[in-house]
Amino acid sequence: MKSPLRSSIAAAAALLLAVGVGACGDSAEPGADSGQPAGDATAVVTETTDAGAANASKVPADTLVHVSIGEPESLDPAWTYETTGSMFEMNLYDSLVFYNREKYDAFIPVLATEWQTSEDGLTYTFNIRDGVTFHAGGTLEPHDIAYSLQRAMLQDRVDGPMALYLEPVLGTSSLMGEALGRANVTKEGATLADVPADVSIALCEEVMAAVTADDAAKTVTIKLKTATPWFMQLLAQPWGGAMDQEWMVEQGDWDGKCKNDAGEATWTAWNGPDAQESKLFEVANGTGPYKLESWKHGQEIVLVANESYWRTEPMWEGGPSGPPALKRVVFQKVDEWPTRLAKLQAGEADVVDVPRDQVTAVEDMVSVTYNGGDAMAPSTPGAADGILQAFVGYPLAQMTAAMFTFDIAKDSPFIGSGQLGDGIPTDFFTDLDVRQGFNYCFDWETMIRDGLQGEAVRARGPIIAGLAGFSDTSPVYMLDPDKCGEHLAKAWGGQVGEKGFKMTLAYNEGNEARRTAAEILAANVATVSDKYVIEVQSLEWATFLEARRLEQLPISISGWSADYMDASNWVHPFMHSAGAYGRAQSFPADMQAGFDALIDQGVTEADPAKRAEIYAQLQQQAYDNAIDIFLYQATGRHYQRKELKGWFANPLIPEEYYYGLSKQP
Amino acid sequence: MTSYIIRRLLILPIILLGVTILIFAMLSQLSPGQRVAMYTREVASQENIERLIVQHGLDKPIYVQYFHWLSNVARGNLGFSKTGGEPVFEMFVRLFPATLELALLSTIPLIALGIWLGILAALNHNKWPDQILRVVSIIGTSLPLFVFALLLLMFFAARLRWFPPGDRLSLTNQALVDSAAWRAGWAPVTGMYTLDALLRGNVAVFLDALHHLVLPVTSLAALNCAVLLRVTRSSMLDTLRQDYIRTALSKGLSYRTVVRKHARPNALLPVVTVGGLMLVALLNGAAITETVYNLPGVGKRFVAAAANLDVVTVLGFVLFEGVILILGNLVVDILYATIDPRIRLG
Repeated sequence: MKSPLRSSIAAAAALLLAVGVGACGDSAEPGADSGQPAGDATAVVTETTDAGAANASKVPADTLVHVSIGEPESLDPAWTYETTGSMFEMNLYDSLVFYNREKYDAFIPVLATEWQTSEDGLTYTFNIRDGVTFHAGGTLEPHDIAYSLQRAMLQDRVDGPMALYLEPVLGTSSLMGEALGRANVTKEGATLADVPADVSIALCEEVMAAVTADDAAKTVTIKLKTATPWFMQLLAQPWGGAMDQEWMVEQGDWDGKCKNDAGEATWTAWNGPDAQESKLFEVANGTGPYKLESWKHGQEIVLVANESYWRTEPMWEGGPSGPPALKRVVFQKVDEWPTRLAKLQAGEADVVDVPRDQVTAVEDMVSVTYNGGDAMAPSTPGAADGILQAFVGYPLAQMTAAMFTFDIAKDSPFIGSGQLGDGIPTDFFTDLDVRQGFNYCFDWETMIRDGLQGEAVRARGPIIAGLAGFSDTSPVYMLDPDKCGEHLAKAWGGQVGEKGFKMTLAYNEGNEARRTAAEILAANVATVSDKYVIEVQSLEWATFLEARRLEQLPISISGWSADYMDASNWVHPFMHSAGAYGRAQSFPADMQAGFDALIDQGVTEADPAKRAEIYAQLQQQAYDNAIDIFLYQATGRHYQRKELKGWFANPLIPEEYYYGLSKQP
Repeated sequence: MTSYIIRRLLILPIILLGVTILIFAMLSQLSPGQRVAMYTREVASQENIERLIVQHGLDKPIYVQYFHWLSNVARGNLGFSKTGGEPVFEMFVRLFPATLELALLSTIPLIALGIWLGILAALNHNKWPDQILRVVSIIGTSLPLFVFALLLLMFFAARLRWFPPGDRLSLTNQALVDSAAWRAGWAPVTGMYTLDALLRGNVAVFLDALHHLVLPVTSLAALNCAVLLRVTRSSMLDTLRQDYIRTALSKGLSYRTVVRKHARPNALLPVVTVGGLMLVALLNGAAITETVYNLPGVGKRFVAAAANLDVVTVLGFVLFEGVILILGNLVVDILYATIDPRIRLG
């Protein structure tokens, strides 16, 4: 009798083979066998590189598959304040100017052909390019650019990017806050609806007056309240990307007016929307080199080349011009590393996000490693049959610090009893010896070697390398257990040494580098005295955020990424009383007043030499007062298939500028 | 039977209401500051956190939030999924076909193999096929699904390149399926690519979709099959020990006839229950499989929503999946009563 077991296995194998053989071609032409004309479908070229080789790419030669984590929160440039969304917007929209390749402080003309800045640094005039069309067919005019910038500022959603425009233009970080302040509305939960119409309209008109267009003269003028040396850096970002005003109004977006005929404030209807409330949440009509084809949320975003892109000259020497070389970009959101790795190995991805602690998994696949942010950097050859290029060691505009809370909440669950011995008092970190002792107990070398695989440099203060005020010879704390012990022993009049302390150091779960930092500090403090106890605890992101909001964390480990490359964007968050971190640390009043005065002076000072001096002082004061343990400035790493050319790193360009890329076998 | 079905369907909204109240009650244990984490990716300033709390109504009493949500549902609005980036209803409609296709295709080998191997083991009790299958079933039931799925992925997709490492179609076919040309014509778009391809007579897309499903289906079917094998085996062994089997054999019926006509139908009764529930569980989202193979299904998205405290999305899915669960159980009950004349529903 024929064995049912054997026949079943044979049947299963046959089915498997049929499916495998039948489908492994992976190249069914759109329309094939469907009875539909291929031209109706979104046809793509199916040529592959190095076909037949074991490590051949299965991605068509004119297509880029970018496999990464996360996805945009929105595709509205004025709403977006995260890197993935900005990456797409840089490819979908054009701004007035763009960064000159890797240089963040040199600019090339984009929608502006040239520009002038007034002597006082308060007025910027841009000549606008002719012959530029939007993806939906409209023609770009200067009023479109003014509209886009005005709309962005008036939208000003909570926790969004517009504070960066509003501060120089209007002298405030929040439109709603400014309106409530002017109207003297103090009730909790108040909104723009509580502001009298005349106040609200006046505010809108100030924004309108700050950005004006002259269609006949082909110019756009921007007037600032405060000279802002980094303003061009902000304009190069996609936040003010040009939109077609007429098209936007047709979609039901802001109509370009502050009030209606009845004298009621109407602009407020478009202020502070949720992501999905914006008309540009998942559609785009820019003038950029790519058009948005589709966005399947949580899955993939597809861009297609804008074949009528206006650019005729290379952006920079050897740079892109004309329509994009890569006709189709498929961005896939794959949160799991093993799946991303499998896609890379199977030849189904061109660019893959590789976690820092998984670098060894792709080491054998690297054919060349560039020690810098582009292919002109010194290189080291890798595996002869490698399929990847690696770029390593280029500086990122990110810094991580462990920040002391000077006034911890009384109900904090992280301070034990709240008394020295089996806890810490809420003002534990007001004593300089405690802060210095903790600094001397931190081991930067181990941190960078073990926690960051050597891919970082130590931070020397709030200001990162390359910016005014930074010096690689400025004083820093080094690991010194003896000094750590001395400072802690005499802290609080000797009580810390006598009674000891116990506290919990929390970090947000999943952030392995921060866990390593916490463990290094805890271990080193414990070696000084067994009376000193730091317990390390991971917290879910939501719980961590809540604890920080309630000022319960004795030490908060967090990072900062640059909005623009200027020292002011670093001292403000870490040291200013209104800064994202400084505010929560509750520095003593006299110390805070000194910081604020210098930071405000640095913003208004026009002389670069004097500015550098001011920021050097702030860097020194951060050291003298040991306000934080400034941990590390990570360096970047990037992996892509070796056929891909044209990639470069710029600290203000997130992830990929697809327009600059091409494939060359 | 009809009154039983009507009663079960009538109880459906009450159960769903109860589940949503339970979720909101659990939610009351979280502070607004914890729930606002969904709306901010980095450490926002205190001032902005407070504004976000007010903007999203997280400071309102939990019962107010519940009735607000309920009144929206009554108007057919399940809300917007912050983690999904689209309305909850649209998201479910878009994602469910992938899960349904995976579940249905996994169920076929799962049930066929599970039952057949279970019977094979029972009929060869304590002989070598039984011994081997016992070991296999123990390995199958004890091997975590994510480990098995990853092993398949890394070996057959990454190393051997026999199968794709995820997704539902290759790039070119996906572009075709997303195009207007695919939607044109008489054939409906179900979202299940294998079925859609067959309806359009597109063999290339059909084979490509099947090719992409081999590893996920194998992962799901193989491990669940081990469970069904054990259930079938023990049920069959119990049945073979019954008096009526011995009576049938003593009457001179062949062993084969006794097994086929008397033992097997009775032994399959508990298997129907387990198999039905397995299908329902798969429909509720094979989260791990979908995650490992990057399949855009409901399970993967539900996990992401729950992990981010995206209450609106979680509630929406609970409603959908509650309906599936209850209807699935109902079908199992009816099937059970149909094949076992001793059982009367009512």
